[in-house]
Amino acid sequence: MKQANHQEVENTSRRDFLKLGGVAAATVSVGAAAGAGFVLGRDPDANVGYGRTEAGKDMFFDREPFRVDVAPTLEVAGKIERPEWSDFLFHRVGAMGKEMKKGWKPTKDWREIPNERVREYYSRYPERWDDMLQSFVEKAKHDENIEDHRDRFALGWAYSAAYMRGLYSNFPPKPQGHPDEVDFQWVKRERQEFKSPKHASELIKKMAFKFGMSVVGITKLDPAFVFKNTMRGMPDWDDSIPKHWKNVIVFGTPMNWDPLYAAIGYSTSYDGYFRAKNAAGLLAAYLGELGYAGRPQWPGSDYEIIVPPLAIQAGMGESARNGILLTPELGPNIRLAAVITDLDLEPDKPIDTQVRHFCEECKICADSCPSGSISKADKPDAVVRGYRKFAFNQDSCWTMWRQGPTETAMGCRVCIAVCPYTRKNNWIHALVKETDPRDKTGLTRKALLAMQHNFFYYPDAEAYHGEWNGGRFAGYHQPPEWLRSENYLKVEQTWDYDGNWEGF
Amino acid sequence: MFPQSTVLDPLFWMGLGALQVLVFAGANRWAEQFQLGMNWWKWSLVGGWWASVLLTIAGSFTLLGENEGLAGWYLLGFLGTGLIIAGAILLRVLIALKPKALS
Repeated sequence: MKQANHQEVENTSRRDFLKLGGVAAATVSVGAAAGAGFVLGRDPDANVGYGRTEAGKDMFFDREPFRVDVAPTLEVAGKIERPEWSDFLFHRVGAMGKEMKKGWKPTKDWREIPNERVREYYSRYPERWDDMLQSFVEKAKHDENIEDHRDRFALGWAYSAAYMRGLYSNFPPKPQGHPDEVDFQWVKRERQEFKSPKHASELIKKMAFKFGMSVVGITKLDPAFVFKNTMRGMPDWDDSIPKHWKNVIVFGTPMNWDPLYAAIGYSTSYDGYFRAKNAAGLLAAYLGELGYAGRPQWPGSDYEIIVPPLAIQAGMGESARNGILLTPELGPNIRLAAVITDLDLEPDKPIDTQVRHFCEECKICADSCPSGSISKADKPDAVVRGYRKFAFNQDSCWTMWRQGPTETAMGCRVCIAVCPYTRKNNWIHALVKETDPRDKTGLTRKALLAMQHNFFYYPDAEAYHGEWNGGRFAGYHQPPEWLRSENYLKVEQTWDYDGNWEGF
Repeated sequence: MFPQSTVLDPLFWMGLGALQVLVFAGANRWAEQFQLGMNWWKWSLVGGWWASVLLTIAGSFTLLGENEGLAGWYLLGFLGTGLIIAGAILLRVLIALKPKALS
């Protein structure tokens, strides 16, 4: 009898537990469903076409723990000098192109360059003239051979050309006239005061995201990065910097990932350029509507400033071995534009995510560079206008541009494609990008680089060249299916692909 | 599993989560059958090993999915081999530490 009672008490207790537990589980489930539903309802991924980007969620990396007063990759190692007009490659090649149209034929002697400012550059770097001269030879060879490969690259070239047409549209318009007037062209009324520079910065960054940019930063205009004797719309400009040029809003967007990975032939910069240029125009117009000056700077060559170091000062990223900006989210796969403004803004501080150490140990870009233009030194081995960095030969890089299998012989992008930081925002890469900058021991970096060097396939540097120069049209990745002409066009596939693939 | 699918993707993850309940419920039955005398730290080791297996497979296939074929297979081969060995050692330890009263 006593045993039976005990059994009944135990069963009742278990039943009660299950009953209460069931109610509790149901309650939790309802709460979880409500919570999950709410989160999904707010998920920026739901805003098709304006998803993560518009919400600023492309810029997922929290930079605040990494803010420093001086950017490690902008180490001052000498007298700081402002860049000359001729320091910008596209200024030089543009001027030489005009001279060639007038009948000038380049010779081995740089002193015969008709343009005085270009000549001045090569008087400083006479050893680079051979590379530039070679680029003319390579371009001629490119033009002789490129049409033989149209069947293979037709879709990639069409993709690139479409964005190129967009890039060369008239928005924003090229500045014509004095900056004291042109920079205020969008101002139609009295300026509206912001509550504070902090409020202004917050809003402007949100607008950069809403105009389609993935990463944005703000910095004071540092004269060290303003070209001398350069002002669009003003052929005779001196060294002066307009007084209303106070702050620079720098922003950028990646090139489309899969074409980039298939550089050279299937890749283009024009997609990133087009979007960044449009955002610059939109932001300048937006500032004008509120009564403030806006002078957009956009790629390929519409600049009065050197944008990447200003992006570094604005905390967007750091300088990589290949000399360009490397951001935590996009690696070096970022195309920059900027707007100079007189609006009082709260500037960002630079960041230290240990990129310099990463680049010192990695060297993948230097080993892959088809023109050998990137230094393979263990430590930064050059001082450029006062700043210590890795040596980079822009003229030999340009030589590769002129022979690469793009339709217009513009761009290479191999160093960007192979960089271990040029990775999409999936969970493994996001995990790595969050972990490595926080690991002060460097063990994560060493482990990752060991895997990177041993597990990943990198074509030889020579393989990226066109077939007419002994290459195989290799890419870091094989092209995506939508760029393979044999999938869509009536062409006969006579080629094999060289590059990483899905592994099946 | 179903990128850009606003319905299938959350359902998949919920289903996968529910499946883990079954996995551990089943593991518990096996442990009882073999009288392993499981406790919190033994379950932690088993759970950690199982999570490592899932993450290694998922990571490797993420690499395959983004066209890093060679890296994906290498990662699966190296870490996968290590995890199989670690799993065998863990099983041996669990058997060796069986409570004597139960054996």
